[in-house]
Order: sequence, then structure tokens, then C-alpha cells
Amino acid sequence: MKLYLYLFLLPVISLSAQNYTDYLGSGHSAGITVTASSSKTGPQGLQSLVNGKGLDDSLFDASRFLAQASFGAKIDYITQVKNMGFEPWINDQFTKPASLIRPKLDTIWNMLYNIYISNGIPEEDIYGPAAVHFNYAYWDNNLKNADLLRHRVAEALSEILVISYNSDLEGSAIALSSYYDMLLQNSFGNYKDLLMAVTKHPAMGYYLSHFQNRKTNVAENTRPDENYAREIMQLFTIGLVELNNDGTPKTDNQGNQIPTYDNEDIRQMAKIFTGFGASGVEPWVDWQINDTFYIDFYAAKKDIPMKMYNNWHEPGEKIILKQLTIPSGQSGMQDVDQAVDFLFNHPNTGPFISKKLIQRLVKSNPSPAYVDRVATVFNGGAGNPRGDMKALIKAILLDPEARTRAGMERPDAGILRPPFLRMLHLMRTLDLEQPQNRYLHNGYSIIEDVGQHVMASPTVFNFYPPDFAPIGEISDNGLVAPEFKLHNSSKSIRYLNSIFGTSFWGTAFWSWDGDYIPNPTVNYAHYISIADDVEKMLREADILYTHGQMTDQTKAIIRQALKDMYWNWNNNYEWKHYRAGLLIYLTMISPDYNILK
Amino acid sequence: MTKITRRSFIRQSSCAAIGSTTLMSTLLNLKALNAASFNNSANMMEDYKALVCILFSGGNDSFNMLVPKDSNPTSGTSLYKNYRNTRSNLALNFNSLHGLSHLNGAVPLGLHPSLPKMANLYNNSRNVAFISNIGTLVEPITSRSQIDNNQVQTPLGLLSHSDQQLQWQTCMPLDRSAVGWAGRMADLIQSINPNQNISMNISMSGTNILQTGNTTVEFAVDPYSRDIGISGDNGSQGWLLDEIITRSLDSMFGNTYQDIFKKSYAGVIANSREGNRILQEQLDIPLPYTLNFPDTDLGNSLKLVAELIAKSQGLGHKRQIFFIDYGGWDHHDDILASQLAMFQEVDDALDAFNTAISTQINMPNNVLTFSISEFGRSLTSNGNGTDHAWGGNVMVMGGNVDGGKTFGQYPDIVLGSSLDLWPGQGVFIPTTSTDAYFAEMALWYGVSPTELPVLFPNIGNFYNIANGGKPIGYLKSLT
Repeated sequence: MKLYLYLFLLPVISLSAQNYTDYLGSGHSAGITVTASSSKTGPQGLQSLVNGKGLDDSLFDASRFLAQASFGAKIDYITQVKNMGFEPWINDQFTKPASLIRPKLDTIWNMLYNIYISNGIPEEDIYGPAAVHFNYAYWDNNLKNADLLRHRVAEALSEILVISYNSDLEGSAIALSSYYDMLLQNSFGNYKDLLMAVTKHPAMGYYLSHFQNRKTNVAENTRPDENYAREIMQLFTIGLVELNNDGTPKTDNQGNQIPTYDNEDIRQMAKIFTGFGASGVEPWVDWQINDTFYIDFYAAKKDIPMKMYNNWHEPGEKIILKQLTIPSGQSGMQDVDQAVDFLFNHPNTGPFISKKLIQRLVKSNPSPAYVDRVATVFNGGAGNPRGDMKALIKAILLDPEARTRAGMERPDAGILRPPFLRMLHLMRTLDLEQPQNRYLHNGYSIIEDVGQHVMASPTVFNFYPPDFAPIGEISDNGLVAPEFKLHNSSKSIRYLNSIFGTSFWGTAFWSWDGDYIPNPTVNYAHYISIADDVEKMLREADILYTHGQMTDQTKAIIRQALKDMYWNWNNNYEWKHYRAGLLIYLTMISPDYNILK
Repeated sequence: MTKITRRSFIRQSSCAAIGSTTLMSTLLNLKALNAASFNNSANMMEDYKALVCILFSGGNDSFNMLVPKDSNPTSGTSLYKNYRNTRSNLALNFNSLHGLSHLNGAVPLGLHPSLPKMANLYNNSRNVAFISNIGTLVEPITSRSQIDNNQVQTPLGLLSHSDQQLQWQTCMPLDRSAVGWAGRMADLIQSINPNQNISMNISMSGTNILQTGNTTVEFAVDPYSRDIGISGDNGSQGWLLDEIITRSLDSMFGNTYQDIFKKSYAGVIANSREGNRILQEQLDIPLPYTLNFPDTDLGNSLKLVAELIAKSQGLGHKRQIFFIDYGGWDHHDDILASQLAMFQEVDDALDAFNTAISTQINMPNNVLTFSISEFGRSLTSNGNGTDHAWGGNVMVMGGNVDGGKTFGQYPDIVLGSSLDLWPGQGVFIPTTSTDAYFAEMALWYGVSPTELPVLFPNIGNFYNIANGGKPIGYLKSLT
């Protein structure tokens, strides 16, 4: 199907190309209306932009803000946010009810199930709801929802508190959507509650194997599983080394970094996370069991918190990081509460989580002062409770270092946009069409192309470590750029090809059920309507995608490409369609877009 | 986490990497020297050599890969019985193990039931060997008491995925460096390859630490898509869209950018664009034989490796290093069933690779395949899985391997022994270092003994460079 569309379009061009080569590169502009360009062309362009002058600057600022606070928006919405102001918009977003994945999943799955049955597919051949159906629900939701900030924050959290359907969780969209909805519901809550909900969620219990984790059995020579104990410390709260409040590592007298825990601490912590098991069984379960701790994950209910089985919980005293003695004789949940509370209140957790969230939402290399300001808010320094997510989000997004364009030219100012977010951004900004208003993306094609999709991390360490630095000038300057781990000779080019497909083939993306639910297409009518106004096209792309930072150099490349895409032939205006495609393609692959500053 | 093997999924290593211990100036000097010495010894470089590294990421429980198999007495004791007692409910059945007939004096051992083909290569073809109880070390350790008494230095972040995966690839156990030893080796050697447009470090698994040098990065290819270049980027006359796209890409990725993030973004694409053109030319040439590999992640990866070895001359490569991250070994849970399936994938894919290299491509002595994994796992059970530990066992394969032998000291698997780091926990101190393991292949690969410390800063603690010889002895020849 892809190939067919492509071949269908090409002959039109080939017919006209011959009489066209004579002015390739000659800046052919006859017949093209060039509107007065904004005041930002020429060598003064960047300067005036930095100074905040120019008609479009507040629009650019709003668009840039939404690149951090949402998955991106169309010009009408950007204009609304510009008029509203950033903090009022955030406050308004805090009041928006969460658009949860599970209800969408149920609707879509029921719809598909009925379609399968009515098409004569035997019931036993129907598989799901599985990860692909989670992806359907996720995409359909994120092209329609109003709670943009919540979803952006939840996605960031999903890259910190990682579970993944690159595991046997692939078989359960119920577990995946329940976990994701838990993130959504806690995105504007408190990090402590979030951490407890993560700890007790069966999907996490399965992913990091503290589901059915048992106390020591001397006779069988078994002892508690250390997996969750290790990762809740290394990845979800305190990290490997002691930190100052500004996120920089503390050092001892010899200048060495100070480990936060050792392996004895892990063994002690492992005892805490014993005794969790199923809270209920799937409806299809038709057997009975005496000790329901033995209900395996497959049979267990996957959308309610795990239950503590005290008789499977490690008895006795536990020493947490050599600082806190958890006494023997408590219930399992008392132990868990105390240990999680200890980690939540550890002085590392504020800077550790604050820096990770800044790296997800704003930039790869926040200054220590920025981390310090945000961590101080995490610690409760703005009159808010410790761990208050609303205060934390405001602190991150409204900080001068996130908002100002001053210093934008500094080498540490940028972030390589995560490739999954580029895909979401593009689809949210194009005009998509689908007769049933259903936008079902399989998601897997994005993983294959760019190596990233929400909830599909290769391991609990996420798609890229927060301290990854590609060799060359980035690491030479002591900077990090985590997303570059996905930008290699293979994935970088497949990203280009993926954008090429959307730009020139017309189909926006594919589900695995296109036989029943037509795939969405891109409607380029708007760009076609302005296709003879190259400067207007450039301006719109600059607002939507590069937030006023499209350089003269990039503009010149795209301008030339658009002008070259023209023929004067028999009232055939197919070139306008190609101009639209070229605008999107070249903008989306440009360094100016991919590096968000 | 349990791995689901699925061809549509990417396989990424999960190393953390921070800071960098730069050996840049030393390297640049050596590189100049090296280029000169290689030029003077053209004969040595006439031959082709490839290293194929398979990372079992997650921490392979390799004491269930290579298992004691002396006897299974009901009373009295044996190595197997000690193993069985320690591993309790995770011990493999004595009779399910494929017995190994050693050509050296290693203790009686057997292989995991899913590795019959590797047992055959070990026992009959004699081109497979094992190195036992190997791990990251700063200096040799013979007993727990040396650690307890602070007489020896130990690696940073023992038992941590991120640190240990890093150190296996960097050989800098006291550092969180992001520069791998094979990357540094490529820094030294890349210049001898006639073609500089595709890195000699080719990855089937994307960005990785092992192949990252100070000046070298991996060239990543996808075993499934085989990376078909950039759509529209053919500049063909008469196709307007393609002409415009080609010209625009020339400008966009030919430009230099002042901003270092933009420069890095554009630089990767520019290099890839050039490299993929060459790669595609070669992949379009049909092979005179059919490569038969299992249709699995590892099988498909090794199949493309085999093809790129067969086409090394066309690629302009006298030296290649391949990297495959075959993940999913973090078996805190479900270890018995999962290893049963994963070792079978390993067994089938490696056997197919051996056949392709030995009989079709016919370069058995030019290719060395070896496994790494960040750590072995706890010898004790957590119920249905095992946790992170330290020493483990690795496998090497190739015509130049002194096969049918197991090197290093395979430990008696008894809790509380002098190698049990924390008595009773079953975390064993390794007795062979990763540095010695890799130094031996580096010497074969053409690195001179005096350059070894550039790649392996602590090699002097394990190998006497001045005396020469083989660091471990698992290769027949160092040339």
C-alpha cells in the first residue's frame, strides 16, 4: 500500500521534470508570491528573537512552552495559551480530569472484538487486549484529549518509574493501562503516594519480580529476591551516590564520590519487599486455592494493588541504609510504608527526581542552580508539602532557565527531542482524517523505526541512561545528551524515512486492524492552500515546530526546495501537494527542529 | 524482568555511562606510531581478522551454563552434589547435562541441556572453549579475607547492572567511563582499513559502550531491515522530488552547525548517509551460497555478521569488530524455563554461525566469537530466580581457539568457601580477570604488547607484558 501511493504520485513529477532542470538551484521565483518576511530574516534575526522583539515572538514562546509542557499543539491552541498566560494555563490544566487509558481501551477492544466476531473469526483466534491495543488506546486518546500537561508528565514519569511491554507484560493491556492510569492519576499528586502506588502495582511487581517474593527459607536455602530493593533505590529515589541539593555528587575528603548504599543494604531492603501477592483472580479462573499467595501473575487481577501476605513476609528486624531500624513484629505493609517513607524523605530524592524530570521535560543539562531551585520545591521549600507534584511541575516549567531565551546559544541549552515525542508532536500538529474519528497506531512500527515508544523500554534503565554522552564535542564539553543513545547510523536514518512516509504517502500511521478500521490519512489542504506563499509556509512551520528558532540557513534550504518544487503544466497543481510534504519533511528532519532549545 | 523474544523488538544495552577518563593524548601518539608500524609490516595486515562479541546483557546465570559433572552420589560428596546443595531448587538435573571431554585438566563439567551443539563443538570439532569464574577485577584476589582486610581494591559498583556492564566493556573498574576497549582498539587500528567511511566497529544492536572509542563510534545496522538508505536520496535525474530531496540533504547535512547538539545530530546522519551507500552496494551483491540461520533475533544478527565478514573486502575492512546485545538474562524470576529457551537460541545461532564461517565463508581462523555478560548470578536461589553476583563463565569459538578445554579455575560451589564474598550469599569472587581475557584477543588482533595498558590499564596486575606469552592461553596462536 505504501509503495502503491508513492508510485502513483511519482510519474506526475517525472513528466514535468525535464523542462525544469534548467533552473534547478537558480532561485526560480517567478509566479511565487513572496510576502514580506518577518523582521527576523537577515543576520539580525536571531538577535531580535532573543531580545523578544517581533510580531510572532509571543506565539513562538507559547509554542516553545507547549513543547515542554505538552506533546505539542496546533496554532489555534498555541494562540489560546499565548493569550491565557503560562501559569494560568498550568492551573487550568491541574483542574482537567485525567483522560484515562483504560476506558478507551475497553471501548476500542469491545469494538474490535465485535468486528472480529461479525467477520467470522473464531473466538479462540482472537488475542487480546494486548500491548498493541494499549497503543491504540494511547494514541487515540492523545490525539483528542484536553489534559495535555498531565499526559506529558505521566510520560516523563513512565521513563523514570519504568515498566515495559518489552517483556511478558506484552500480553496484558489491562496491566499496562492500569499502570499508566496510575501514573496519570498521581501526576498531580504527591511523589510519596506515587512511589507507594508503583511499589504495590502488580505490573511493577511482575516486572521487577517482587510479586510472590518470599521470605527466607532456610530448609530450601532460598532468600528474598533483591531486584525491586535495588532498583527502587538506584532508579526511583536516591541513585547510586550521595548528592548535593543541586544534583551534583558529594565527595569525601579524598575527592571520591560517596555510595548511597552497599550490597548489605540491598539484602536488608530485599526483606521489606517480601510477601506481595495477588489481590484477586481473573474472571476466567475456575479453580480454588487454599493459599492465594500461590496465584500466579497470569491468573491474578492486574489492575488492583497487590495484597500483603504477612505469613510470606520476612519476619524480624530490618536495618535500612544503616540508619533506620525497622522493628520486628510489624505487619508487612507497616514495613513497606516505613521503608518507602524513608527513601522518599532521603535528601537525595529531591535532587535526583527533580533533575530527571527536568531532563525529560526541558533540557539535558540543567544548571546546578536550576536543579537546586526545583529540588528545594520538591523538599517542600515553597510552602508546599514535600513531594507535591503540582508545585514541582510549576517549578520546572516556570523556572527562568526553562522560560527565558537568554543563553539559548550556550552549548548546554539544548535537548535532542526524544524520537517518540517527535512522532506524537507531528501527528498532533497535522490535520488527520479518519471516518470514524479513530486514530489507532500500532506503536510497534515506531519502535522499529526510532527505537522508542511509551511503555516499551528495553529494560528498567529506560531507553537511555540520564548520563549518556555521545563522543565528540558533547562529551568533550562534559555535557550529557541521553537521547543521542537512540541516534545512531541506523535509527537516525530510519527516522528520516518514517517522516518521509508521512510527508509523501498520505497515510499518517498504521494499525494492525486496517482491514476493519481505516487508517488515518493526512489532510494537506491547508498547506496546499498556502502553497504559493513560501514565506507563509515557512512562518507556520517555524511557529509549530521550531518555535521561532529556524535559522536563516535552514530557511534558505527549505525555501529553495519549495521553490524548486514547481512546474507550469496543464493546470496540474500536484506540486502544491509536494511543497506541503517537503515543508513537513525538511522541517522535521532539520537540526533546528530536532534540537529543542 | 522476563524477556520476551520478539523480532520486532529492538535490543539495546542498558549501560549507564558518565564522565570520561580520556586517554586521548596517549592514543593520538600511539595512533601515529601504529599507522607507521602497520605500514612497515604490511604482511601482518594482509590477513583479515574479526572479533564477534555477544553480550548476554542482564547477567547470565552461567553457573547453570557450565555445571560440575563428576558424580551424583547419594552419600558422600562430589562437586555436582555441592552444586546441587547450593543451588537447591534451581540445580539442573545431573543426567540432563551434556558432558564435556576436556583436553586439559579442568574439573569434570557439563553443559546446560539446551546447548548440545556447543557440547559437540567442544568435544568433537574442538573449536569451542570456556573460561571459568571470570569477572571484573582491579587486581588478583584469592580469598575473601583480602577484601575484608582492605588488602585489595575491588571494582566500583559490584553487582550493579549499569556499573558492571560498563566495566566489562571499558576495562576501567574504578571509573564510570563511557569509552570501551574495542573502541579504543579501533582508535588505534581503524587507520589500516582502506575504507574509512564505515567504522570497523559494526553493531547489530545500536549504540553501545564496547565499540565507542575516543574518536571511533560504531556503525549500527539493523539485521532485519538491513538499513536501506534514505528514502528519496538517490539524486536521480528526471525525478524532481528525489532531486530536491538529495540536494536538500546535501545542504542540510553538509552544513556545519555551531551549536554542538545540532552539529552532533547532523554529523551522525551525514556519516550514516555515506556509510549506508557503501553498505548497500555490498549487500546488493548476491553471495554464491545461501546462509542458513535460525529466524531468531540472535540468528538474524549473526547472519548479517557472517555476510559482512564475507564482504569485508568489498567494504574495505581488514579488521572488523562486531557487537550483538542479546539481552533478557536478568533472571530474578522464571530462570529455569527462560534459560531453557534462550540457550537453545544461542546454541542454534552459534552453531549456524560456525558452519557459515568454517565451511561457506571458509575463514575459520580469522574470526573469533566470544561471549560477555556483566556478572554471574547468586549461587543461592530466591525461590524461582537468582540475583546479581560477580564471577561467571564465558564461551569462545573459532578455528584459532584451543578448543575442548576449560580455562581458569572452576570453583567448588560451596557456600562459605574462601571465594564466597559474603559467606552464605553465593556471590563468588572471580579468579580470572576480564582484562586477561580481552588482552589475549587484542594481541591476536594485532595490538602490540606495549599498547595493552592503553586498552586495559590494569593488565599489568594479571599479565607480565615483558615476559610475553599468552595471558590465558585459550588461543592457539597470537598471530
